[in-house]
Amino acid sequence: MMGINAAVEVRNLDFTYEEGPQILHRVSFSLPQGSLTAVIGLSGCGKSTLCHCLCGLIPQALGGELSGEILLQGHDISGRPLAQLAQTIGLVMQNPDLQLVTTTVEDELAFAPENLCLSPAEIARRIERVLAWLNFEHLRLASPHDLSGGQKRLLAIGAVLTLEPQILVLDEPMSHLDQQGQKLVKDALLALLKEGCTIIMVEHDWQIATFADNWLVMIDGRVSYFGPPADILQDKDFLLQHNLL
Amino acid sequence: MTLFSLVKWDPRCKIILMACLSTLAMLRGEVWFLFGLLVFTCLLVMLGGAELSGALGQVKGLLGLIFSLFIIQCFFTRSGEPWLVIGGFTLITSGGIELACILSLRLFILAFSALLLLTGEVRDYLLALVQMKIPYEIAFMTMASVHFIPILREEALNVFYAIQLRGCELQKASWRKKLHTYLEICLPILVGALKRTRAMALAMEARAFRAYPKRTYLRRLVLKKNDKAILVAVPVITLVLLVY
Amino acid sequence: MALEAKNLYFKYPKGKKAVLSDFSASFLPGELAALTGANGCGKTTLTKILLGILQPQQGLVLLDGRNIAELTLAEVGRSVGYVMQNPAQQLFCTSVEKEMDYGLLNLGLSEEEREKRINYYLEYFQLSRHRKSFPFHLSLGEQQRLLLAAVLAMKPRYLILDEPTAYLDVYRRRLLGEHLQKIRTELVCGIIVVSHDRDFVGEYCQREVVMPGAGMVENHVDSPQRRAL
Ligand SMILES: Nc1ncnc2c1ncn2[C@@H]1O[C@H](COP(=O)(O)OP(=O)(O)OP(=O)(O)O)[C@@H](O)[C@H]1O
Ligand SMILES: Nc1ncnc2c1ncn2[C@@H]1O[C@H](COP(=O)(O)OP(=O)(O)OP(=O)(O)O)[C@@H](O)[C@H]1O
Ligand SMILES: [Mg+2]
Ligand SMILES: [Mg+2]
Repeated sequence: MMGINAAVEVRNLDFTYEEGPQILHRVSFSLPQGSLTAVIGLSGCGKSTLCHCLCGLIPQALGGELSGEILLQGHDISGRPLAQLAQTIGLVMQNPDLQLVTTTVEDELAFAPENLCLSPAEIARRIERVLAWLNFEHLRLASPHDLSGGQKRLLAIGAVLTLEPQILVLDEPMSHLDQQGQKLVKDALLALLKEGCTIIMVEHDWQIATFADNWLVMIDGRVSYFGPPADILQDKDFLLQHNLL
Repeated sequence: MTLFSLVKWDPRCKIILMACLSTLAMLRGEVWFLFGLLVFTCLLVMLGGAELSGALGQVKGLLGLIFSLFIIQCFFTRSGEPWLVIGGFTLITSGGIELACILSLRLFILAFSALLLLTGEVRDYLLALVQMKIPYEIAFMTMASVHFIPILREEALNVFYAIQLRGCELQKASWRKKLHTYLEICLPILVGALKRTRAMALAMEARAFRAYPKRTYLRRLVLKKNDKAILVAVPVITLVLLVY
Repeated sequence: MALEAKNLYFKYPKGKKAVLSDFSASFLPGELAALTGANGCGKTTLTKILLGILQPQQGLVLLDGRNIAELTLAEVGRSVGYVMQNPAQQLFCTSVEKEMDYGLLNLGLSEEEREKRINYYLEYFQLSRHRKSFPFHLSLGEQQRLLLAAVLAMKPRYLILDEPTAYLDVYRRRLLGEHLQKIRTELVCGIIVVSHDRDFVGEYCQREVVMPGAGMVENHVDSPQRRAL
């Protein structure tokens, strides 16, 4: 699988928080450009930790002891400032409350492109596109903190989509969303894939994750399967044994 | 009754106006002048269509403070003629009353001129500050802290609801029990607030905040004709009043 | 005996439209009811009104026949357990163990009984190895399980769970569902589960209350600027 066109390449990642046991053990994988990977695993197995590593939040901001290599578009990320990494990789956090930083929905969506010094016309284009994707026109001037749980989730996703990163990491984007919201997000992700974006998505519900190209199954901080979902779904015993179905 | 709409004013006008009003209040020390200024400020706020119902509530909170400061000033300043003498001991002097009046008037003017700002949105002030050439980080952090107070308040409230719903009686408890619970819960709330602020800084960086020394903006505030007039007239009048 | 909402009308001070208008429903002990509806239709708002955290402008909530407005939150909390939509906002102790113990202490239970319940629930939700951890350092799914454990351990007569399965994996969802079934029959507990999870609702809930108000409700006031222009 290792090739020049790998968008994300992770080699032998070990990680331990400042206190507590080792969380990630020898995690290695490589994601082809323009593919969608679903990270599947039980709660507490280290999925969010892995997402934070990919975006550089670990170890730069959250601390802990990390060893191993992460390459994004062929470049090692260690030591690169977070704000700079953000132009390559966007992260939708698991808890939307912690991600919303401005006072209106419009500003929230404009925040990332404004930081990238884009022209007002381009910023407006990105905002309109995302507003249309998420069906959010009527909430344009609402305060992010007065939204319902599902609306906050959608906004948190939208705010990262306006960044238009080449690699997108979503930590449980479907939680709190109703059927319609899940469909909106799924369609937006599929549209991004067509444009060549590489997507990593954490998901508990394997039924939702069946549209992914690859599954990365994590068990207790180790990668125990990486490949198309169809193959592993045939091995029901394995999944049942590890409580994944 | 609304004669003109403060809401339509450019936020820069409101910032300048407020700055001028406070400067005048601080630098002029005559009771009649301050009183006139207070009346002017009140009229401005009322005729400008500020939503007074909510605003008055915020001033009401200040009333107690201003009143107690008034009393303290009365008693502790000894100058001018004695006004109230009890048993050979001078309690209140004319100088004390005057100083107390000045202080209270000043506080009222500050409070009412702050109400001017409530007629606008946080996002517009942020933009105004940036267009006044204040570095974005500073402008953003100022505005974020203003924006953050209600959020932190709400989060603290959530914790209080959570505590009570887990069976801790606060509404009917004795003040000692209340104090004890508040102290007990103080630390976790502070830790939560710190975590939250940190998480916000991270969330911003993860969305490329400060990736470049510069930043562009979706919107731009444009001064209308009357805004320009206000921006020129208000500082000039203030200067005149200060020198005169 | 029931938890009843009668002709509720509720509008947020900052809102444009009412979130609830003339809404009535009743929830019985020994029943597991699902509360469903589109994002933003007012489910969380309703749960907060049922607990007395928000006060409706019209209508009232009756808890076993008593008006909830006349009870303190603590009194409500002893009969109604609540798990918020965002678990992180409801944790306030410095260790998992203390978090579990907090409610039990307030119920005035004996040391022995508390210990028993804490052990049982930490074991059941597989948090035993985190017993001494700082709750803020848990993963979101673990925080949600901790909160469920802490509230369930109090054995309230009613339970209101706002999207309890949002951060749980399939396996833990099953654990939760089975436990809810059990306390429903054994303790005759009345349970309200807000959920978007069709499988969970289909498998474990006896009744579904669908909130009216299709799609995202247009509930937000325009900013003053927009109004003035
Ligand atoms: N503090 C607030 N001020 C004004 N409007 C609010 C506030 N909180 C929520 N709303 C609005 O009220 C409506 C109902 O919100 P609520 O949180 O009850 O929805 P919900 O049914 O729980 O949705 P979800 O499934 O997304 O959690 C939403 O449209 C929301 O935008
Ligand atoms: N700051 C921290 N300090 C110490 N331990 C931590 C910290 N954050 C997480 N952990 C632990 O690391 C483990 C993995 O956490 P992580 O958040 O990656 O799980 P996850 O797979 O995302 O789970 P979930 O599905 O519940 O979100 C958990 O057992 C958690 O308790
Ligand atoms: Mg996680
Ligand atoms: Mg909700």
